[in-house]
Amino acid sequence: MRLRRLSGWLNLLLAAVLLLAAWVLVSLLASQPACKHLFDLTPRHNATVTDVTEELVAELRKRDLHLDVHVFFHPLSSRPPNEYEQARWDIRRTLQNLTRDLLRHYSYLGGAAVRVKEYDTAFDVEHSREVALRYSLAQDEDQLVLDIGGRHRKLSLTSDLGDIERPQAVPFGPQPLPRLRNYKGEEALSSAIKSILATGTPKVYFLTGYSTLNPSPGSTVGAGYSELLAMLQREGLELAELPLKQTQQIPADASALALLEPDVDFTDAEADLLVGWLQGGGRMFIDYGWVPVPDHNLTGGPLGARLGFAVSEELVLQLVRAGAEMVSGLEDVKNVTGLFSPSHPTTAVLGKQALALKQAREIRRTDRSPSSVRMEPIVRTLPGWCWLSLPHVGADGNLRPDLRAPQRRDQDSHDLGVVLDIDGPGGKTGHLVLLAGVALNNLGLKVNGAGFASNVFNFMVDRKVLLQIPGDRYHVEHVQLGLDQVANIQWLLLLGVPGLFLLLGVLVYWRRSRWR
Amino acid sequence: MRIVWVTLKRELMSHCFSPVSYVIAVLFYLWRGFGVTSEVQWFLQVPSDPDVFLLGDGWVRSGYFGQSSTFVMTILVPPLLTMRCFAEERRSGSLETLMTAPVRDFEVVLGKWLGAMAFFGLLWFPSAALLWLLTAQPFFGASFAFGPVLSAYLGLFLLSSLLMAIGCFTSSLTDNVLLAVLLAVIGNFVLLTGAGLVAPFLQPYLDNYLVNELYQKLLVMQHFSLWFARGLVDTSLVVFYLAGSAVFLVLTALSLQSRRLA
Repeated sequence: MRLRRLSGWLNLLLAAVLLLAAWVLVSLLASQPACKHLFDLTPRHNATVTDVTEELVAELRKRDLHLDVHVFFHPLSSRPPNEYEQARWDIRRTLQNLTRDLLRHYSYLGGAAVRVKEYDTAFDVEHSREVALRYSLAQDEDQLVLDIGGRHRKLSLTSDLGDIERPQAVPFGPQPLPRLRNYKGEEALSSAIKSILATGTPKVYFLTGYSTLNPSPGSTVGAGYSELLAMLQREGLELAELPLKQTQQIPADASALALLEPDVDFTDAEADLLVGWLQGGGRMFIDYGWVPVPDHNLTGGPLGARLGFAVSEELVLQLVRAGAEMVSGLEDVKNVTGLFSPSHPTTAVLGKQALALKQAREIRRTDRSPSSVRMEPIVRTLPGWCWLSLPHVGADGNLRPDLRAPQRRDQDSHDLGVVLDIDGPGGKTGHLVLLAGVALNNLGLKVNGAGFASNVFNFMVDRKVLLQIPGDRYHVEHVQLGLDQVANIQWLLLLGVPGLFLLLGVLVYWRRSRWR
Repeated sequence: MRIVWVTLKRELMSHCFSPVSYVIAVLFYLWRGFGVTSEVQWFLQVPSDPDVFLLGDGWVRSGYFGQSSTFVMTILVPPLLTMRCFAEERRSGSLETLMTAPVRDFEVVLGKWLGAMAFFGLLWFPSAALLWLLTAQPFFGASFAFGPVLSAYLGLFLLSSLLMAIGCFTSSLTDNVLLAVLLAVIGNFVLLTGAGLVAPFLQPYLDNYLVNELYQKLLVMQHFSLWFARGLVDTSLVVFYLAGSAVFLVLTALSLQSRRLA
C-alpha cells in the first residue's frame, strides 16, 4: 500500500518534470519571431510599426547584425512647481513611455538582433557613467544611442523623437505652455538605423599647411588636438590629412573637411574650390583661433568674402563675477561662456550646457552676403555680459587685448559659432560650421567641448537617409476635475460599489438562513 | 462536456452563495476605492492626461491598474477560491462520491477551474463597469482609451488562470485546506518573484537569445505592466499562460487519479 502510494507520488513528480519541460519548449517556440504576433490596442496604434521598419529589422537579422539600443532616460524630478514645468514634465513622461513601447516593438520584431538596454542612472551609476562616457552623452538629457557594430547614432528624446511646439512668450503675458504636437519615434529610429546601415565609414580630411604658429593637430600638448582626433576615431570616423595647398583638389571620398586654428588664409583659387565643394553638398568645419602675433589672425579672407561672413578682429571678453562685485582685468576675462542654440541639430541635444572658449571672436554676416547662403548661430554669448575689445600692439610687438571692462557694456549677444547653409545650383545644400574660439583642444575637450565636437562632426558626416514614415498626429488631452466631480467619484467608489456588494452579501446570508 | 458545464455551475453557485465571497468583495472594493480616489485627487490640482489615470506615470502615480489592491487580489484570491475545490471536498468525503460517478477526472478538474474563473470574473466585472461609468460628466467627463483597458483585463485573467490552475493542483495534493492555501500562495509568490531569485545566476548567460527569452517569460509582473496594461497583446505571452494553465490542470487530474488508485 505504502509502496503503491510512493510510486504514485513518483509518477506524479515525473509527470510534473516532463510537463514543465513541455511548457518551457512550447513557450520558447511561441517566442520565435515567425510564430508570434503583436496586437496593438493602443489608441492611434502608437506601438505599431510600418512595413518599412519591419523590412529594416528583417535586414538586420538577414545580415546577422546586432542593433544595441542604449536608453538613458533620466528620472522625472520631484513635483513640478508650476504649470509650465508640469507641462514640460508631462511631455517628457509621454515621450519616454511612447518610446519605451516603440522600442519594445523593435525588440519584439528583431528577436536576437535587437537588444534594448535602459540604464538606471540613479542606481546603476558606474555602468551608466561608463557607457555615457563612451558615447560622449550630455548629462541631464534624455537620449538614446543606436549602435550597430561600433557605428552609432545619438538621438535626443525631445528634439529628434518629439515635435514640441514652444510658443513665443508675449511681453507682460503669462508664459505659454509647450505642447507635444507629434511623436516621430519610428521615423527617427528607423532613419537612424538606415543611415548606419547605408553609409560606409565616413572620412574626414584635416587640412594641413594653414597653421604655422600652433602645434600640429596630432600634438599631445595642451594646445594640440590629439584627444579630439582620438575621440573622432572612437566614434567610427576615418581621419586623414589633406595638404590642399599642394594637391589643389578635394578627394572624392571626403565626407567632410576640417581646419583647426588656421593663421594662413586661403588663396582665391582655394576659396573657389571650397565653395564649389560646399555648393555640391560638402561639409566643412573651421575653428578660428587667435594668436598674439599681428597680421596672423584671420578674419574670413576670400572664403568669407564669397560666403558672406567675417570674423571680428576684436576679442569678445566677459566679466568674471566674484561674489557680489564685478571684477575685470584678470586672466580669466579672456574666457567666454557661449550658450548653445536650443533649435539647431548640432546643439539642441546639448540642452542647457555651455561652452567655455578661449580667445573668442565674433562671427558676423557681411553686407554682401549672397542670398544662397543662410547663417544660423549655434553658440552665442548672453546679452549684457560681454564686450568687444580690439587688441593693440604692445611694446614687445605682440598683440594684447585690453582687459579693462568698459563703463557701459553692450547689450547684444555675440555669435561665436554659426552654421552656414550653402545652396548649390544642383539643388544640393552644403554646410560650413564656423567656431571662433578655442574650445576643442586637449585642454578644452577635457572641460566641456567633447559633446559639442561629437555633435558637430556627426552632423557633418551624417548622410541622413530620412525614411518617409508619417508620424501620428499626437493628441494630448488634459482634464482637470472640479471639487464636485471628485466628490461624486468618491461616493461612487467608496459607497456605491462596496455598498452594492454588502447588500448582496446580506441578501445571500438572509436567504441561506431562511433555507436552514 | 456536460459534466464540465454542470460542475462549473455548481462551483459558481457555491461561490455566489457563500457570504465569505461578499466579504472579500466589499473589502477589496473599499481598499480599491481609497486607492483610486487618491489617484483622482491629482486631477484636482493640475490638468493631466486621462491616460495617466489608467496607466500611471511610471513614477508616483500607479494608475487604475497599478493599484496594490490589484496585485493582492490577483495573488491571494485565487488560492482562496480554489482551496475548496478538492481539499475541502476530500476532507468532507464528497470528493469520493464525485470520483465514483461515471465522470472523467479531467472534466471535473476543468469544471471546477472554470467555476472559480467565472466567479473571479464576476468579482472583477464591477471594476470594468466603473471605468465606463467614470467617463460620464458627473464624474471624470473624459473618455479613456479602452484598448489598453481590454488588454489589461485580458492580462489579468490570463495570470489568474495560471494562478487558479496552481491553486487547483495544490488543493488536489492535500485534504488540509490551510495547507492547500499555503502551498498555492507560496507557488504564486515563486511565480511572481522567481525571476528576481534566478537573475544573478542567469546574468552571465542573458546574451543568449533563448536564455533571455526564458528569463523574460519569468518576469510575470512586467508582462502586465509593460505589455498588457499598455495595450499590447503578445501572442507568445498568451501561449505562455494558457500552456501553463494546461500543465497544472493536467497535473491536477493526474494527482486525483494517483490518489484514487492509491
